[in-house]
Amino acid sequence: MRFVLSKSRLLLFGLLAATLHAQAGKRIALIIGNDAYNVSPLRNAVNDARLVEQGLKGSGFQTMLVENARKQDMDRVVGEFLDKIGPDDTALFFYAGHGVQIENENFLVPVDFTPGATISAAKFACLSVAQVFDELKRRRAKKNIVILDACRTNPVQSKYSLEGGLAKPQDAPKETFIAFSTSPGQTAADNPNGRNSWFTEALADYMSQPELTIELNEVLTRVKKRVADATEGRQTPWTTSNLTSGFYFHEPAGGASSDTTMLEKWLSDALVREQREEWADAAGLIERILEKKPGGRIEEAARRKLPYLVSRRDGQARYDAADFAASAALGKQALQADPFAVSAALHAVNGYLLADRIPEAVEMLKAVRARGDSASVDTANRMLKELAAAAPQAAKELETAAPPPPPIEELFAESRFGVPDMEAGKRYLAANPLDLTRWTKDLKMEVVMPAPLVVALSSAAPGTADPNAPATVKPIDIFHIEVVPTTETRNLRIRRPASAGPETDADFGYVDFNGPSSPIVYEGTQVVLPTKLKVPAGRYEIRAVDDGKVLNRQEIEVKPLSTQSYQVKRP
Amino acid sequence: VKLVFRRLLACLFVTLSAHAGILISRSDQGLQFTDAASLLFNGKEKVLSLGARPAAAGQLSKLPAAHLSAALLKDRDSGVLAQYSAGKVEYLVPQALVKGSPDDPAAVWKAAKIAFKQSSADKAGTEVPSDAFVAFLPGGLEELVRLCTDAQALALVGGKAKAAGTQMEWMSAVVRKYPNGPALAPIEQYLEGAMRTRYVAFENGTGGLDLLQQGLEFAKLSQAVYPNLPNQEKLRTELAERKAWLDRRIAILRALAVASQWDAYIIAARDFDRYRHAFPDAATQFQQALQESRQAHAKLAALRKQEGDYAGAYREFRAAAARKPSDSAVYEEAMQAWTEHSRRAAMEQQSRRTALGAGPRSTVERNLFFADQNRQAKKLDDAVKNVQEAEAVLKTALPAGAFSPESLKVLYMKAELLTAQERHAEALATLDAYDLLAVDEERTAADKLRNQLLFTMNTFLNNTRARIQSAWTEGNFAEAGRLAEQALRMKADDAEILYYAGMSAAVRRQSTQGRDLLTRYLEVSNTLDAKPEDRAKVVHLLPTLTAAPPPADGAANWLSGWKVPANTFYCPISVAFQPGIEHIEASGKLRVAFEWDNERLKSVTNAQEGGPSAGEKKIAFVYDDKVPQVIGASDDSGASKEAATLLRNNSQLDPIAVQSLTGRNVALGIAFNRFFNPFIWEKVYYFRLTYDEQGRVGSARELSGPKGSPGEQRLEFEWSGAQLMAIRGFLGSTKNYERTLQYQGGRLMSEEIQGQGKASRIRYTYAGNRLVSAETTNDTTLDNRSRKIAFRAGSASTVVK
Repeated sequence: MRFVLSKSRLLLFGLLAATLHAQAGKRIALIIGNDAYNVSPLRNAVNDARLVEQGLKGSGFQTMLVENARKQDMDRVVGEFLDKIGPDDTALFFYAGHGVQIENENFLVPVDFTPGATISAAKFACLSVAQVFDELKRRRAKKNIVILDACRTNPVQSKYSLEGGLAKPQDAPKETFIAFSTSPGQTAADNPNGRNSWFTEALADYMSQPELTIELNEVLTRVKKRVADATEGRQTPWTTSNLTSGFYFHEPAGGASSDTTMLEKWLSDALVREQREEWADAAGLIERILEKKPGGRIEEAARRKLPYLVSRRDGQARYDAADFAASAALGKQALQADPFAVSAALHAVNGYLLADRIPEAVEMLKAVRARGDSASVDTANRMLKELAAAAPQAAKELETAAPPPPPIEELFAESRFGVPDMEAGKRYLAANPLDLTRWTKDLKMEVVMPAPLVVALSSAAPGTADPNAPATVKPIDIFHIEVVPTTETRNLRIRRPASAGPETDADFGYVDFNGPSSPIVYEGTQVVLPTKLKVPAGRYEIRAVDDGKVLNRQEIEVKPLSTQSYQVKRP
Repeated sequence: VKLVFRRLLACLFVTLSAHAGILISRSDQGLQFTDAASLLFNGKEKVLSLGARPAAAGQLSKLPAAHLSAALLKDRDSGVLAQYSAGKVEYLVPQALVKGSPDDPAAVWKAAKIAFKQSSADKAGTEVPSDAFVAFLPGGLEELVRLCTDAQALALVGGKAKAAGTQMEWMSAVVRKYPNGPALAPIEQYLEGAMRTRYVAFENGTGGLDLLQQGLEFAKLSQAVYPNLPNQEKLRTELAERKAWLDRRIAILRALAVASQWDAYIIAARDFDRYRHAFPDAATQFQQALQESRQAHAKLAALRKQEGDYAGAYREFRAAAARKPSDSAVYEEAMQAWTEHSRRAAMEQQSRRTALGAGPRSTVERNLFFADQNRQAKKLDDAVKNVQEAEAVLKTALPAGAFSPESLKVLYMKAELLTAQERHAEALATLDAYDLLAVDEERTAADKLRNQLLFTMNTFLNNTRARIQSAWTEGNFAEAGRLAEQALRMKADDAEILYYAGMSAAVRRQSTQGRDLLTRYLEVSNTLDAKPEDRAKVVHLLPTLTAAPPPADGAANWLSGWKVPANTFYCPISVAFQPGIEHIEASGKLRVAFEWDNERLKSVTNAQEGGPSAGEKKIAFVYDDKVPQVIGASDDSGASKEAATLLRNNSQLDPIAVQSLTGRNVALGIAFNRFFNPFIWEKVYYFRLTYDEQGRVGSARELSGPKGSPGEQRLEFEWSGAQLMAIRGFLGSTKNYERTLQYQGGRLMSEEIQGQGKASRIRYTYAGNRLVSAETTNDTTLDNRSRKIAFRAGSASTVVK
């Protein structure tokens, strides 16, 4: 069977991408209010939903209001809601009605819910908040706001022997603000004498005041106070947030909802695009950032990134147009903008090879050998070996020993160390395995760096006798040995006169550690037993630390060019 | 007088030298050439015949005597001397056997004393060691030159598996020994031809790497002996550059493979297509590249889909589908990704939705109404104009980048009209654009239209494919081409249809169109679905579509219309005789008259006086001013008046392309006797012609009529450049005819005919630079008459250089 695909679509993609980027982010809200339950109907949830919708409309949200939603309605509208969310958007999900926690997971109860025989059946009959979170993660909206006024006494709690209220949410998406009408595990009142719940009444009131240009956290702080006052302390709304910037229902004059957040989002998106090798999109985002002239760190980062991305974008365009020589030249240009961009070098290699210009390709492979990780160096070597059959330059390059890697200072010269994004780091490492062993000799270590166990920085371990001891690296929950210079040794080193000239081997001695394999931590770096540690001559305290506690300590003196032995004993 | 006498003496000496025999022996310095008049074997000139095998069945002394009349070559494999002439080998032993001689001929020769006489006056001769003896060529340099290009002779003197190496050695030695002789012209031509044919065969994909290597070996020889001949220099460069390019390309492909850069590999392999047959490993690796690329794109597509990046997923699924278009699962995934992506994209676009003003909206609605009416009335062109007008209004009325509900209506109507016009690919593109703007229920109608469109397309294409194949198989190339063109309007990148469209164009002499279509075919069929044999055919055909036009100078041959270079006596593509004949007087009172209209032969009349067959027989030819060649021929037997020939230069159909693509040989030639004798005009004989690599008639098989069945008689033609060298006839595997042509200074001097155990001859006579007459002895292979031929005095065809 044969099929037909429209070839014009790819062109449309390009046009569309350009158009989309020209738009600002939207505010989109889904509001669900469920009263009409067969069991334990509510009075105010639909009113709450309507009231919130009014407030949200007034603050610029495109709203989707659903009342008394059955399970199928909830699934459908959630799907439609999610479909509308784009990467620059703010998505708000408000639910008023029954909610239930089952096995520490929150579920929103549709009006057609009929208690089934099993807990599993009950789960399937409800909308899982965790699933909504998962979908929100995929959408990568600029901000997510999830507000659940669903902590009322639930109708099935006793049937399934469930805990009351909602559970503390797990694994929320990034850039998400979550508000419950009361604390996890607690139940909220439906305000039997009013049209709206205490919580929603207060929330809608604040969000409906255009002059109230306060940040979302502040809004909820006020809501909390008002609800607590109204319920005489029986109900206190609860919030959690991992938003990295503020959100305003009504922005203060001058746009306090800072562009910075949006620009950071663009920057972050640009990096995602870069990783996906969607160069045009990545460059487009960076160019948009620069158009805003934000100044400071963001502009600096964008400005630094742009030449590389533009070269890659143009290089890809030339490649797609089968102009391989021009594409390769642009790859080379990209490499000049970012000497560690091995993918740019390999792109240039491909371009030159396709243009039948092996000598230039060899030059690029040389660059890969100098700055690539072990895998790419290996690839470069294998390519050179094949090219050597037809090009003497390749053979010559291959005969030359692999060039030494650049100094570690160069490696990290352009790096900015902020709050570590472990998730992004893991993703990056999964996609770009990096063999640090090529650079370990720059660390002046006696042995090859083992796989890092150190995962967090901390101040000196608790119980350390010397409060002036430098910050050490603490392997979490792992037995390790710390080598700490005494105050005297450290002071001597600090006060070492410049006239004494550079340190030589004569200024150092060795500590020979023996015993069971354990991490040895010295001045923030780590080696694993058995090892011989090179340290400046002086006095040191050797501490055996386990789970943050110093088990024992021993002072040793390391004399120049001498070796001290230390037997490690695990508890 | 003394001076004249000296000059005559010098001429005589030169003539004698030119025709003196040459003894070839081997020393530490290689082949040695010595003038020799004759040989003595154990002191005698006589030898005995062993027959065609280098072994004796009985006593050597009882063998029959052999008459020495040709070259004597030592069979390197057996060590036995043989007499060699035109492929015929007769093994010999000396008549004067040494006392106690062994019965083994090889041992006899090993023990024999071979001596050469420098002249008839030289009685004793000069001994040449038996082991050193290689050959004796009584025909002298001319024979030596001929031997250098005779593969059978070379295999004999050099060993069966070493003919190529032997040829190199011989040619090199000959050119070194006789650097400036005109007699060496055939070597120069041969060398050029050898390089050219090997280069062309390799480039066309008909020859393997061994041919290229041989070409390079010849190039080395050429460099050594003819370093400054521009034609040879050009060929040497081409061969060397091709080899260097191949070396680089293979290294590049391997480098890309080890780096798993499969997409780049596939691009790099495009230019390599036509050479892939010569590198089996590369062919396997190419399949791997396609497979790896497909898997990589499919994997990435799945990841993108998982991430919710449907645009990326669509792009990658599409890339995966391009590697294997028949993979319906990937196609479905691509379609789904498109739907997801376009829905989301359309949602994003809603902020650009703008209400159209009342005035423009009214105009757009009116145009849409008219378009619908015209569509229903089948006035599709008018309907398209209505849509274009609506589009123009929208463009003017809406802000840049915005769209309105009417925009969607216009796009939908446009898609419907394009569908009605069978411009399905454009209709699909329009629906794609629609999809990127439409939300919710707006998408339903477009989805339905798309489904209809796809169903119609797939049904039509499947049906049309079958019809195209049927037309092609029947040889109805015009119909196959028409159907393919129709299908391409619906789906421009369908590999199979492109294949038939391109081939139909190619065989119908639409070279430019054929080249474009087949080039496109090669691009889109570079997939795991490709039929390697189809691609190979196209790869071989494409260079012929870009072949240089025939030489512009020279006189057109009366039968083929092909312009042939000066001193070409037989047209290479029709084997028709080139010089125009005025009349022929044959023995037995037969007179043959030729009627010409300028250079076109209108008719030939055989007038027989007296006897039982008295009367006239006429052969007439039909021409068409639009084409250069004879289009019809008739004789008294009522032969076809049309489509008498289908030669290589036929302007309507390319028989070489037909054969290359279908395996069917449709080339048709005519002659007027069974053996292409130019002076015997019996009736029209039809032949199925086969052309060689250089486009010359390589063989011909007699047919019972223009559409008749093939007979037993087969002819093989030997050419040197454009000069016919020999015609050999075979009945089954038995040779029953041989005609060899002798040239001197580029002029055809004579033809020797052998058949039915008898020989006859044709002698040509020139006056200045014009062929004026010829005489033939009784040709027993045909009508056993002798002839006197007079050539046309005023015709350019009889002028020679």
